[in-house]
Amino acid sequence: MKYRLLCVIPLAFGLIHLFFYFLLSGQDFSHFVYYEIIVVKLLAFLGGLAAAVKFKRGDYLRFAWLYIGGSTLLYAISDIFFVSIMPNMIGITKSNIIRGILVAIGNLIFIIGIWMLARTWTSVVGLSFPGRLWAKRLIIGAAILVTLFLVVPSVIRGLQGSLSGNFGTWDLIVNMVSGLGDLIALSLIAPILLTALALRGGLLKWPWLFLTCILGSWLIYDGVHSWAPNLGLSPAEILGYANFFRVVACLYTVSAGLSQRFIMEGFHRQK
Amino acid sequence: MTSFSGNVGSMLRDVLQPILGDFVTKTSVSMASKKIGKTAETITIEDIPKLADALRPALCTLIGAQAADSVVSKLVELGRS
Repeated sequence: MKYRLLCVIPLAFGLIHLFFYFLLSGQDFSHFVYYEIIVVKLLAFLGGLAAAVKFKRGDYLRFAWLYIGGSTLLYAISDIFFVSIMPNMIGITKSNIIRGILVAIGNLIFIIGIWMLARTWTSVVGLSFPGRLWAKRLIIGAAILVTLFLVVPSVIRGLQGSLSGNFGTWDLIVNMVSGLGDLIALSLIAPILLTALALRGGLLKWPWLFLTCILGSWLIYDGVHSWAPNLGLSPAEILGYANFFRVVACLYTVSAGLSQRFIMEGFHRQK
Repeated sequence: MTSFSGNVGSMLRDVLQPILGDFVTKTSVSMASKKIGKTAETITIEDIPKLADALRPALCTLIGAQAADSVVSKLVELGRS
């Protein structure tokens, strides 16, 4: 029951986000999103930490959870230093440089965390994924294509904006690092999904299912930024819809961390 | 796909399946059996302690050393009973 609740809660909070989007006016909603995103990122950090501390020093997944939680902490700190969703604050200022460094390190450790999780099954545990080889290859290929389709346009748009002089050189570097980070991390959704499928019927499927949901939500978040302008959505609408997926991604990090922790606590109690 | 049946198979399934699910229980028992020079079909109750030790590294990765120890001791106890 508690795992099903962990499955539903992120979506429920996503709906609350949409409720405020329809309720509040543009400027008020921007302020709401700013604080909302900081809160969910800090919660995501606590979720990752909750799982990491249950592993002993030297356990393989301890660092993966620390990296995933730690990346959201760095993103939250970067938001606090630099109000990214507010206008007229772009430029090479001290806070901008701090933000860039934090985002770059956050992206790097997120990639490392996801990479560690993605190789857990075949390289570390030494088991194979269920299903036929062609089906597994199809899933991996499809995941890479979907990632390219959803992420690349927003990366190109960011680079074009930077090159056309709308943003500074520093923002160009931050945009490139963020975009590349998203491309690498999100294309690893396939091995994580395959791990969740392998664990079907067992309690351990839950953290892996939630990890898949995190990457899926980030993919759609990038997809909204990539394709919404082509669909004629206004910046305010993009802010509303894209952040639904950002809230859901961060809260699924909480669900993933807590579910891993609950499973491990179950064994400690049995001892 | 390897299948294991009988008392030993059912014991292993009872402990591992709720955590790992059906597919991983079968593949991990098959992998651990190979490590101790047996197959999943020829495992006997006397093999369970060795099998549990062979399963430990995979369990350690997925649920950490402490929880893995708990599962391993549960299997060893079952082997003794």
